[in-house]
Amino acid sequence: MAKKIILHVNGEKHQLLVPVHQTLLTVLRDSLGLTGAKRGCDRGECGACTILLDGDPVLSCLILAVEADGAQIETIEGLAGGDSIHPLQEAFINFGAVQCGFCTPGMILAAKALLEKNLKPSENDIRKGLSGNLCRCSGYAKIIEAVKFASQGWTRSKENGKRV
Amino acid sequence: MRDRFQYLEPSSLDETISILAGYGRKSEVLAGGTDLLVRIKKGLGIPEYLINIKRIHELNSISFDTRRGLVLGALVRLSDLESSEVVQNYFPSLADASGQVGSPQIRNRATVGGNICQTIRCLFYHQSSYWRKSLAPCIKLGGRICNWKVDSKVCTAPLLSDVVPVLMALNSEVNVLGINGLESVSILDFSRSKRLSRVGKIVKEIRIPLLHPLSGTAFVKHRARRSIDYPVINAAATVRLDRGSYRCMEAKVVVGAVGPFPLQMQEIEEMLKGFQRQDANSVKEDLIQKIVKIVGPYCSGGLGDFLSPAYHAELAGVAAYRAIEHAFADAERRSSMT
Repeated sequence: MAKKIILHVNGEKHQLLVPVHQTLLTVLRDSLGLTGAKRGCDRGECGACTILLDGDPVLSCLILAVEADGAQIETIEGLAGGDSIHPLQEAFINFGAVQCGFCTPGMILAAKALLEKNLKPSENDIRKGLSGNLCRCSGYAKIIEAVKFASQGWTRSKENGKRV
Repeated sequence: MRDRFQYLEPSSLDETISILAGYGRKSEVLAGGTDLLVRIKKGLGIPEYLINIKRIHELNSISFDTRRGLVLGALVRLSDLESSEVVQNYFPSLADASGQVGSPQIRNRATVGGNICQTIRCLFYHQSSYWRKSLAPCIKLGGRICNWKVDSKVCTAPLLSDVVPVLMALNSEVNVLGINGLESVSILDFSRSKRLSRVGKIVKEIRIPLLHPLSGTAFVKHRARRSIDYPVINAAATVRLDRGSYRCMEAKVVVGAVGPFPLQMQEIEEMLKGFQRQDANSVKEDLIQKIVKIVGPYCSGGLGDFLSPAYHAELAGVAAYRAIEHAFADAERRSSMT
């Protein structure tokens, strides 16, 4: 059984005919070529498939594409703006928070969602906000430092009225 | 997921109930999907009809008044429960428990109705069909043996919900809607109900009565890591204090994640009557050992025999004691507010 759905992905509208059993992860990767979201465990335990659905970080491996009909979806590919990368991406690079990079797209999106909700997160808040994203390489320390640094920049931008 | 099923999206409760009554055991309700989709991917009961109920917006509300208490629609997400001011103020143990389920991403989809519908969990059962090929089918799969407790003739796997023990400690009721109308059951009876009795029905809402002003609630959870993992042990406590003396008039103490349903510690609840917080503290070891003795027969060491059964039981005792202590503290904090 297949169904016609509309997905708004990174600001672009897509009309798709998808088999009802396909997960959002599969459709993003295979139908839309957005391979930033990763198939880590495919069962909700690693967070590598994290995307933002209507602003909330969710596991795309546990959502059927048909469930996301009409939703606003942000993937890692949508973060950079043309010629410049997002402050979170820059912080991750500068702080050495990327090793193999597999967890990184999910990690950055989870961090973005955290900072949108909490402008001045404590280290504990950051740990909790990223607690659904596993990293086998880094030991998390640099990731947390990068998010902490990005949050400071975030605050300033928000205070100036500028949206990051 | 290569499995084929038909997908339906009813937009009203009436439509949903007729569909469920019609398809019966061939259908499954899809709410948050964080339990069901994992089970489908592992080949543990693939439905022929998947019914997505997320378009039934009336199931999405949190309503509270100082007469009836709290009414949670089945589709209320755990992240919404965690962040709800009303729940944090009036039922902090529920906000706390909801905020410790899974991970942030899971809580953004998982629903309270779905959480209470979860069934017992075992490491030998919750595996892919490929993995399970190496073992004979167990009792839960319709076989004749238990792959976990080899001498057991019944399935004794634990119920790993964090929300159900809290709802029990809050005297909650579940309203279940079926073709014959609305039925109200206690949360314990609901969580013990068999799959067959749930066919054709959905959870409509959960009702939590208002607590007495001098009540305190608390929840404690222990797990291997501080996120994602299921509980190895959890405990929920509610105490009601007398205004003048701060003595406990009534208590509810529930230990979860040890057996197929959460255990209400009635003996401990009786003991706590008349106690002030410091009284409970002065008999701490005695309380803990009494709890250990009660939960002992159910403690097996958690998913994957992660702990020794004896340590598992000790952990249960300590967790329940901490929940009792924090519940007293919560009640005292409230009394200083009123």
